[in-house]
Amino acid sequence: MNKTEMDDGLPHDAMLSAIYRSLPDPAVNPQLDAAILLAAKQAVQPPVSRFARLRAWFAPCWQPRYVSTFASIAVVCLAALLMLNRPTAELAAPQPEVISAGLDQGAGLAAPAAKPLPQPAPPEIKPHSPLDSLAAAKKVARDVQQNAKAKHSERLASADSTKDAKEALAPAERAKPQTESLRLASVMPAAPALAGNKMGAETAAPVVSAPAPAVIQAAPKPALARSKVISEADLQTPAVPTADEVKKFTEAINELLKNDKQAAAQQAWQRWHEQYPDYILPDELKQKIQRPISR
Amino acid sequence: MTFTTLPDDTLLMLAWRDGDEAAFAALYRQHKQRLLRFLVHSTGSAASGEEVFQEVWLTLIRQRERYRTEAKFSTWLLEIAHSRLVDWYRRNQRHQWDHDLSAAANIPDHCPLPEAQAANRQLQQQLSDCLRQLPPEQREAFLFKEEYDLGLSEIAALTGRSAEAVKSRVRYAINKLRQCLGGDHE
Repeated sequence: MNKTEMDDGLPHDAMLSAIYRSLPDPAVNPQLDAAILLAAKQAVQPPVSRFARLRAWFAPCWQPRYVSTFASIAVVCLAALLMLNRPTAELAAPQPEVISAGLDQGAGLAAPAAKPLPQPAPPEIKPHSPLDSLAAAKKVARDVQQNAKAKHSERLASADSTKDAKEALAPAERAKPQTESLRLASVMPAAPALAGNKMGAETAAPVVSAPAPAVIQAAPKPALARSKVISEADLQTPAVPTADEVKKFTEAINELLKNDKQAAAQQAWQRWHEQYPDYILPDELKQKIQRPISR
Repeated sequence: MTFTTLPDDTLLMLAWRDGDEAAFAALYRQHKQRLLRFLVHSTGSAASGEEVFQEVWLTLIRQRERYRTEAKFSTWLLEIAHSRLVDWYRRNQRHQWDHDLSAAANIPDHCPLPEAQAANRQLQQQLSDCLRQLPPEQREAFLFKEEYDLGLSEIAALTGRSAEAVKSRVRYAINKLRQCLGGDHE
């Protein structure tokens, strides 16, 4: 009777147990053994620190035969780094001829003769800039004033009486505000309208429109002069007569005094003095003019 | 063979956990043959047995910190083996039994086999074939009993079943094996 029970009640068959225990043992694969033992070994090994790994990795570098090589490489790298970091201001300016020659040689062509670089075109000057307009207006105003004075002197010289002298002096008186209005028109575009409010559009229009082409065609001044700030005083006509004007004025006074028209001469002097307050009349002529009028 | 755990097993396990590689080698050498035999017969294939065998030891290595000195090392090892076997059964529900065990059993011997040995060899072959025909649960319970000499309570604890269920499984396994072998052992 093979069948029985264990002490704890578990069924048991002695014959089956005997047959089973007589079964051959399977052989363990040696590679499997090695893999399991290696896994167990790695599992309990203390973790290697990162510094230790780096030290082990760089260990060959510290051998004497490699030290000089690594030092040389380090020096070359340092020099290259310094060259790359050099400021561009210290570098020499590139020569265009050399660059063009190098490009041609690189392309397999013969290097042509060095050609001068085209000069940059001069900056285009706009005649309508405010500073230019101011300068041109100043010049035009001066010309108009000189023309008016010249005409006035001629008329003054040809006048025979005090009435004629008054009539001759009137255009010079009208010319002054005209030059002022012209000055304003040149500086400010709205000046004609402002001047027209004061003296009438018919009067202001020809004065402003006539010299306009001269303003546009006026030659530009150098950059240094253009950059100078023009003050209000610069726009004022200087209160000093020209030599021609003085000569004409003196001749006219002398002519009036010669013709015994001392009153007309005095009025002419007063207007002259108002126009040129800084002008100093010669004493001899002054005494002749200020001499009491004989009745 | 009795299911006795040497007290050295626990010491070896603790020594290996503390970094002693030789301790694990001793443990492995002591338990590998029986475990592989159990797994090969449980899976019915030498290759599958080796596969599960490797999984069991790698799981043990990974879970070394979970080992408690109160439990026997062999019990802990069989718990891992049982869980790996269950996973393997799930992965291979339609597993077709191969016959590599038969090939392994038919290794030629240099000595001429006597008639009695030839008959015993035939019984071994028949038993191997009959074991493969058992349901996994009954086969595992039978192998726990025969390979490791585990008692009823130990098998119940390992498999998570009641003692009556384990007793029933072993009984069914023995009856089927007897029928498979020809009923000569009634």
